[in-house]
Amino acid sequence: MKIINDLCLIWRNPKFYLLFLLLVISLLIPFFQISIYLMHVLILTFFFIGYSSSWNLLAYSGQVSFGHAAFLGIGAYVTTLFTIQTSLPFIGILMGAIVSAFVGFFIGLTCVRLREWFLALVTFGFSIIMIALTIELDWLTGGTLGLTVPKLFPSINQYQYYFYYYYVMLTLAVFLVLLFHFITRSKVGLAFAAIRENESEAKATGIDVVKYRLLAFTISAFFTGLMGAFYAHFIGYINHQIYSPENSFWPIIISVIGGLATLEGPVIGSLLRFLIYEFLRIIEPWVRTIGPGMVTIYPKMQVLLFGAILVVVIILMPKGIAPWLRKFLMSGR
Amino acid sequence: MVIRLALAISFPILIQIVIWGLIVGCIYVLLASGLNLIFGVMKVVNFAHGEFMILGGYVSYWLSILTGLNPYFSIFLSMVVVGVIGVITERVCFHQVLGTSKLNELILSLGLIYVLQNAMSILWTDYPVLIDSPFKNMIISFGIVSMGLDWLIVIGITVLIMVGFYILIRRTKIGRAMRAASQNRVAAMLMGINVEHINMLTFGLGTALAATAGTLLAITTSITPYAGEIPALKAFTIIILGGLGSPVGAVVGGLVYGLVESGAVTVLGGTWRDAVGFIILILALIIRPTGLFGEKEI
Amino acid sequence: MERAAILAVEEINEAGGVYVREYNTKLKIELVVGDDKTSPTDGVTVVTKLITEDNVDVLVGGFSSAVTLASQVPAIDHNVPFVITGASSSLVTRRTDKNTSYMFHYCTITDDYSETIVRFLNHTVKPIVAPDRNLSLAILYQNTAYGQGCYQSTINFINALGLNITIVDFETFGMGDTDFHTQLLKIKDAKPDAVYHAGFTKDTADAIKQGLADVGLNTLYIAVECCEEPQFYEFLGSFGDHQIIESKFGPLAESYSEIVDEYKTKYIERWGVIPGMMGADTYDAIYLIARAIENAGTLDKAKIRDAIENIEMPQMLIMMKDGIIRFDENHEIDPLCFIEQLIWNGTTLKPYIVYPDELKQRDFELPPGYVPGGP
Repeated sequence: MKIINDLCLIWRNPKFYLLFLLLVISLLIPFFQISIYLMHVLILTFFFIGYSSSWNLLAYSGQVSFGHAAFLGIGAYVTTLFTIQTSLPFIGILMGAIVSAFVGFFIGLTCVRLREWFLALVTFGFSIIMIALTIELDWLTGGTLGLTVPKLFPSINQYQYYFYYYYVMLTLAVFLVLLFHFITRSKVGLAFAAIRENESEAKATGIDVVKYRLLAFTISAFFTGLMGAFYAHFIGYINHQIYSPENSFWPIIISVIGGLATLEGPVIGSLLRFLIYEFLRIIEPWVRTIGPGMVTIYPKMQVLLFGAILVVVIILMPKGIAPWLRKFLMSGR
Repeated sequence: MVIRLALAISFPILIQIVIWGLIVGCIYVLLASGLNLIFGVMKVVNFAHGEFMILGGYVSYWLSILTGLNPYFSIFLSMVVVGVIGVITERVCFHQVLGTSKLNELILSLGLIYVLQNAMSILWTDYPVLIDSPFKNMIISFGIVSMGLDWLIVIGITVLIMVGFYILIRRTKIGRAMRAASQNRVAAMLMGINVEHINMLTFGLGTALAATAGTLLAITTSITPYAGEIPALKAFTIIILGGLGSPVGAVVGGLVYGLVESGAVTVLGGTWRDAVGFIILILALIIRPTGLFGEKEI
Repeated sequence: MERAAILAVEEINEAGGVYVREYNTKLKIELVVGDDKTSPTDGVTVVTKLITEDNVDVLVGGFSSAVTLASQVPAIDHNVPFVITGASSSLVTRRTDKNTSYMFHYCTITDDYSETIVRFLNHTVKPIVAPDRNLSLAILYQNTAYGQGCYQSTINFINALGLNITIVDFETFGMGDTDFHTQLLKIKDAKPDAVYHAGFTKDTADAIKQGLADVGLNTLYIAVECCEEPQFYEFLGSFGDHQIIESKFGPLAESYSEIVDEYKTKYIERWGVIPGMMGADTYDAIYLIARAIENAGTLDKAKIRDAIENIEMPQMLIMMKDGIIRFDENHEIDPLCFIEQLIWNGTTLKPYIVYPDELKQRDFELPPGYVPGGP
């Protein structure tokens, strides 16, 4: 009954029409003979949607992780090592997600009683430790030279591989968004939200804060590991750089700009990232004409831009673009 | 995995390693104290603290180059400059999000990190900057141990600044106001303390302290625009371990951390330099999730 | 790298371009530049774009070994010849998991640096410093593929050549680290005769300064060719006096090659700064590719690949052991590297070639205040 109730709500909710529209467009795009490069970039965008959504779920429970790249990397390395040994990439991906969930559970154990910024520190620290470990254990991980990741499925050429991978990633992204939608609507999700809003009140109403926090951690780690594994099979290569702070910060930037703890936030954020990056790339030839020094400066300006957008959004639209848009659209009526 | 035991190190070298650990610790003390102040009074988490440190280093560098001033004097000038920038940052950015969730502060500081780092990189390139001390080649010997005069001066300046800081906090009206605000904001407001002004001052002072750390860092090693990110997180680790808000904790913690880091490099190798602090932090928080010594007053 | 590439392309285009028999005319080269941001993912993205959107005929470049290992995969998949002019790891043309027949490595690799350095130590330094005992060497290296490669190849060459050099200590540091005091103190304790620093400009200069000024490690420091750029000399200042750098391209030294002098002049004219070593391989490689295309007579990638594989042309900026540029069965070149000693003349630091003997411009001298190590 709940599901039917939900479906009815969907028809009324404009945000779902938008998402649905995006979905339809995404499904059709590859049939327009687009370039491999565009597919590549879109696949990465779907990856970010999935990754950011997983991170967002954790944030939905009030826990903001600054080191989520750790789970990405664990998922990626596990599947790589497993697939190299057994040539069973799909099992490898599953293994990656499971191991990542385990690790997430244990990290969660250390974090559940911590305040937000302690959590941020610890999760960040954990990703740094993973970098050192990866370099140290180079007999296993390939160290700084990394490992080549086998393909997910055999294909004739890169175009075909990308074509199928596109739908794989799109399905994943949609699946994750829908999954989180149902989670947040469920009893578990309500618990998450309650904990996020006010921990002591939640405890007072009988919610086992520790249990739910751990649950959020484990789920988030599972799906982040899953995304990490798919990422590895796509790029075809991993090394310690997958644990970089940059990879940890992207889901934060994306989700916050798009709308923290909302469903469409990661989607909007990832789309924005895609649009901004591609726009910057397109104008790059013109930028280069300013002078040869621009080669080094331009990438920095791009990062600066993202940082500035983040600062502005936090100050002016603290809940992110999605809620702001919603308010804006509502007030128009 | 190779753990190379440090047992085979000769004594004079070991002493020098320890002393260097203390020097590194001094820089951490200044950085952590600034952070401690900001957190203690405003309860604000600013991950971009490290960027102010680096900014301080660059400002000192340019002051020395442009005016020919002894870098150990331009420290104080750069304190002022960075302090002012800190005040502006507080007004424009942190003031707006104060009171909204902690998350917003965290993420705001993340954005600031990106902005500051890349602004510095664009302005001054990625090449490391080293401030040449006029005492570069002077060596002082104590028996079997000899070290550069600069190292002693670093310790001296740290002591000087920390003493000044102590006097400010304990013996001046402004210091009392800061302490009042850190204990109970509402009560402080009721007592007529302008909490908004105190916030700005605190932030400015905290970033000024970070600037001194940056200058000393630029003199002893060298700095690049991205060098502030990890030390800032280490500073957080230090104040958590030392007791949030406790100034003594920041001092002791900073020194101990410097020693531990040098020790880790000695025993485990350079790869583990940054990771070791986080390992300790995680272990400590597993034992005591509220921080080793809880929260103290300034 | 980009500047050198632009210079080469402009020069070739000015002379009319590359003659392609198939079209019976000279075609101009169009240079399309991509930035991999030293990240494997961005590397793959950028190379994919260059191949599929910009439809480049040949790829040249690649700086980080790790990123190149990732970004060469699209080139391999699409059979685009890729002349790698950075990437110090020999793995880029010796992979066992991918077909590297379209990959060519026009660059010195960590083997070359270390071989030159240990030979120099054995031939020139040991007789002066440690004639009756093994030479003590300490290695301070970056924990990246590059640094580890330097370290490993040093061990390999000492063993392979049967040299009487002992590695008394090895220490690591992370990329971007600026504080080497602790590692240098440990090295000092091991009493080396020389310290081989495998890193980049920034960290090498820092380490040498810290070693000499702060730690009191008055020994012989050896830098790797990656530091061969004007900023290195500026940073070091008087601290670099009598220190050593292994190099393959020395624009600041006395003239040793006409081509290098010409390049230096044109580069300064075009860009206003002295060229660093990063672009030298790329400059040569572009000329190499142009020549290969002319030999092939067509823009067909497979034929270009064959032409590159079989190329023989006189050396250019990078010197070859026998004066001829050619690729061996691993698609690698056999470059001639040399050792420079930096001499401080009161205001600037100037390099002089001290090894090998055929190129020697000056005799090697121990640094003033040098303290030899122990057994």
